[in-house]
Amino acid sequence: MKEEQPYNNPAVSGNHLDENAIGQYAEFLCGIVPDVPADIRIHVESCAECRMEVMEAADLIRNSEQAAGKLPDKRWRSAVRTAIALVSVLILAIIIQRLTSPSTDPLISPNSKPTTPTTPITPTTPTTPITTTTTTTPTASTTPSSFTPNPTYEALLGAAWRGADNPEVKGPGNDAAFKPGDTLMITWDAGFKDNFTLLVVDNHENEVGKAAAGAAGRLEWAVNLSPGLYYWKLLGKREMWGIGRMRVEE
Amino acid sequence: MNNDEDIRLLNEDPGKLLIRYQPTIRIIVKSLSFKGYLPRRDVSDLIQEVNRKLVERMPRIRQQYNGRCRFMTYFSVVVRNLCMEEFRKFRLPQEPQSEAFEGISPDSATDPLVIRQEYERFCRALRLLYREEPALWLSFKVLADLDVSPADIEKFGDSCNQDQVDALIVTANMALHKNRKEKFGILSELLGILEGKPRSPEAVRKWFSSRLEDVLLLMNGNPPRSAYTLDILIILLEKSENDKKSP
Repeated sequence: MKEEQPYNNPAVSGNHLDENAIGQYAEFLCGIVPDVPADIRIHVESCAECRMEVMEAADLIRNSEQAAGKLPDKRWRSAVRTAIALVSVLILAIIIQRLTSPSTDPLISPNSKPTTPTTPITPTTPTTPITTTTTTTPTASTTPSSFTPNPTYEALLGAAWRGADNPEVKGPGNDAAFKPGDTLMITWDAGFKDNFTLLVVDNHENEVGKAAAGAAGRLEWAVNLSPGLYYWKLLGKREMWGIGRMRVEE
Repeated sequence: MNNDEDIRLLNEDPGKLLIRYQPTIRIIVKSLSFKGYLPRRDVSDLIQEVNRKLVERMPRIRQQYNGRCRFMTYFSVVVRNLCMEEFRKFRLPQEPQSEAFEGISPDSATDPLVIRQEYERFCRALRLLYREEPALWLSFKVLADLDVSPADIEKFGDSCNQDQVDALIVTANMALHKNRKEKFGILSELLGILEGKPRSPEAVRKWFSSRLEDVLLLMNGNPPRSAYTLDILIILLEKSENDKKSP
């Protein structure tokens, strides 16, 4: 142990250190000054209150230095981290887009099979009296861009309603492939009341088809579209109850 | 900030000095607020009150500042004391707000910068215990199963020659992965040699326990805004020492 030093510093006024001595010790702790008088150190060693004051003052110095930019700012570091995360997501999106480009896209590969649809795709037959097909204006061409996934809709695929008030919409799987003339069929809980409308859009968000449900629990729509990637949406009066993806092949 | 300029303004234009120090005042009040001393919505009121008091006390500040530390440091201590006066005047020390514990900050506790800053605070806390710092460092290292280095032994003074230092390090490292009771036994042996004053393992345990309370108080603050325990300090020490070793 070090030898005790005489206790004679005027900075130790009364029972406790004054602001000057607290500042002096705090600067010593932060490495701003190389030393501090031993009597101040001895007082602090034995006085819990002054020890706390010095510790808090040293924290203040550190906080001020950080805020003044002498130390790396946590907020700045957070911003950098966020930027890095965004760039990573962007790179990832580009990679995914490239992987799903027409040449390699399993969606349009002639050998690919549609994944098991939750509702069978029925062949086009005239047994669809409840369907009211309206505007069907094929706009997509067979260029690769016709098959580029739409990021907005892709993000919504697979979203599920968790509330009890849920029509339990079922459609073909998101990798389902259709040919012109096939029928897209969407079903839902027949007891659920809403004004159901089917909206079909291409991958550029252009509306290509629309149909209103004529009967409860089921809606069929004749696919009459040029090859490309499309999304169907089942809309209620206020909600979008379901969304799915489909592709149309030659 | 330029200290000479601060002192010049203190003597010639205290009003301008106060304007110059507004960002510092805001930082101090906000940092105390974030530590849970007062609700965040009261921050602007407190800044105003602190400014009013600073205007009143400027002549006294000018008279009492003795130049032994930077003016900014002195002024920061004064501002903090003014804030604490306000807290004491209007209310009993409050429970820290939940966000102080629940971490609304996006920075994770595992953030290397946070760990480094807390480790520096820990070093400062030990340094405040002055003559007991070397014994505390040694104890923490032994309890945390960290390698004791020659520098840890040299902190006790240069009374040991190299062979003795080596022998002490071998003894210290015998404590690795032992239980706490055995560790205090080895610490008692080490401190007996290094301080030239024999202490039983139980006496060392009691001494450490009492000093640990002081360290925890410094680390947690009063009112507490952290929840350090011995085990958490040991984790902090382990992580920091390992970070030092890794490139």
